[in-house]
Amino acid sequence: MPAAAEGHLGQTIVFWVCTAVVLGGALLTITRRNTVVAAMSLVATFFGLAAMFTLLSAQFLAAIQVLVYAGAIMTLFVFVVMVLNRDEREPWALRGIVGKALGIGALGYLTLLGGTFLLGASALLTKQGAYHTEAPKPGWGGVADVGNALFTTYLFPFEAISLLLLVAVIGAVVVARTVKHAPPASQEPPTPPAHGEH
Amino acid sequence: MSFDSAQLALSLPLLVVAAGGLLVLLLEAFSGTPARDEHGGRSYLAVAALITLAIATYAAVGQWAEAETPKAIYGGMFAVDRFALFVDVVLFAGAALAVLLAGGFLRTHRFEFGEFYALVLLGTAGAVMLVHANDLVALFIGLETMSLAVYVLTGSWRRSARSSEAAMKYFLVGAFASALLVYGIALVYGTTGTTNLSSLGGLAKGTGGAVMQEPLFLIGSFLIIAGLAFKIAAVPFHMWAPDAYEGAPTPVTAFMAAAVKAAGFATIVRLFTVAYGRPSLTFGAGGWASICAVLAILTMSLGNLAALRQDNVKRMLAWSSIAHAGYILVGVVAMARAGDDARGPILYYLLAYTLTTAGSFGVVAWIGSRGDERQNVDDWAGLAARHPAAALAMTVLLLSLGGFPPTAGFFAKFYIFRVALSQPGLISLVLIAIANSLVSVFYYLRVVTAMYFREAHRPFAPVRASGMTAGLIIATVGTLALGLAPGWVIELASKATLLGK
Repeated sequence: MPAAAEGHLGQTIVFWVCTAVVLGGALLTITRRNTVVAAMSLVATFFGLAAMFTLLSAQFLAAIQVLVYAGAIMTLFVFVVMVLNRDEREPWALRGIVGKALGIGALGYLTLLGGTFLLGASALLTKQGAYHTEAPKPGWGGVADVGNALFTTYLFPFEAISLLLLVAVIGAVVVARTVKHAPPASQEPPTPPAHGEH
Repeated sequence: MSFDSAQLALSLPLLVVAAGGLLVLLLEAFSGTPARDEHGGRSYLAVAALITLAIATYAAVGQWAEAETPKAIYGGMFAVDRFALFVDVVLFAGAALAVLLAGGFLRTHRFEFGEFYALVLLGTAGAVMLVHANDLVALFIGLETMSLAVYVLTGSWRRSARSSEAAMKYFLVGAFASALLVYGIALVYGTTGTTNLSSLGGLAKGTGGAVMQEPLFLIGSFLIIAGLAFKIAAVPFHMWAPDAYEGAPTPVTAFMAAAVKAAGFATIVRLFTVAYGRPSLTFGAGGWASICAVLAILTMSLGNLAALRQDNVKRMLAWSSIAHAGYILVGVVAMARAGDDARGPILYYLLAYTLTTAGSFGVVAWIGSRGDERQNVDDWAGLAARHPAAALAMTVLLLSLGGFPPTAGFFAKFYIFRVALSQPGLISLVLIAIANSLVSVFYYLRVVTAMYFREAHRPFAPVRASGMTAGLIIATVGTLALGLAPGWVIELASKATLLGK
């Protein structure tokens, strides 16, 4: 948690507010049965993450997070929700109440375990280790710095990603192409004529 | 950094495969509407893909002498060393076998499409990138390129519900694995400030392994190991494999079992040797070798026990490929102590396993006819009487998988076990592996007995395609040749240099 280390109260407050938004949004995303509510909760998570990126002085990443995730990806999600057009029911039906009680019990136990573990681990994690990178320079994380890194040190991965995207596009076309349903095999002779490749 | 011609020349195998993939794609797009009957039509694409792979193999072999002293190009992102070149050739062999098998299979089941060959080539390009990657970022992109192509190929048999199901499972689990991997990379970068494998290795060496005591670094490393274990289908990260292997079109299964697994293991070997290769980071509570030993035991045992219970030959081979990942992991554990000496056996195993497993899946692809894949052991009864050559080929391949001399599979296991036995403390691991190989004999021989000693209950109508026949002959003869003359291959493999070692 970098904010506390530097002792700025304002940053600390923003950090914890963002944490609440991110975790709350994520929890709502997986617990709401209404898919639109779940999708909108995910938007909250994305915005919280973007704010956290800004706290870490990664402004470019924050902007991209909002543009790509909260913008483009969410639009896709909402489209899919619209196309699927599922029933909008909330959970908490009376059926299966025993299972739910057991589930809540298990969740409570896991939370207890996880909390104990995190308390132990946080002592380790906040300890300044022997190997840490130096503090970012002013201007670090802006468009200029990201661009510099992309076109110098990381030029090879940057170029290689074009191949990755191409494969993704071809894959999308192959998977989305309409299938012409051939007649079932039983109506055809099972053996192809016996001659080789031409 | 810039891309000068010397660097481009050194990455020729990658460039050739990628360019070949694009060419095949364009060839398909601009060749007009081919005759869409079940024979021919798209054989020229398979031929173009094979030529590409041949040129790429030639390029990789041509760099062998030069790569004796390893080089890092593209700003340290891309390693050119003999280890990577050897695996390149293995990958090209696996891809070529998949292409040879594919034509007849796709035509028989009526879903041949031109992008198939382009995707095989581009997936191979991703695998080559992965094998050469000397940086976690390049590694991740290579892995994703390869995986995306294979997900799509798995689901490309659109009329088969199983193919779609397999692709969905493979994609979801694979995406999860990629998320683990990239989270691990982020944590490792966060602790050390570098993603370069050589720099990580230098950091570990320069600090006497103290960097491993950083909790975040440990967690990150475990996540990376888990992500890669998913890709090689090591137990307990294997749940996707039987379904994905069974549902995928059989030539794609051959490609997955051969090339994808070989690339995954090559990555593991490079990562552990270069970045984590210091003694203090290997054994002990947080060491990768201890984790790999546990993975190896689980993978071998569960893979073999599950394979014993399969009646479906394709699914049995899928479980057996999980078991084989366990044997290779024994070699990886041995590498922790034996260092360079273990790399040759691992490379030999990858080559032998690629030929054998691609060949055996090839016979599975060959035996089916349209609407009837004949995957049950009972469907194979009496094959020897009707098609003696195919039965003989399958017998050779199964004996190789089971580790009988004089096949490639025997020497692959022999070299791995020998190098593991030469190190103290690994005897129990080798004993478990040997016990597992003995168990595996039962289910391999079950298919052989069905083929030779039982009556056929319905006529066979196998795929007839010259490409498939050629692929089966190459795989079978290669398996035998590697077993009859293993010396020169293991000699070559043991000379494989690794960057940063």
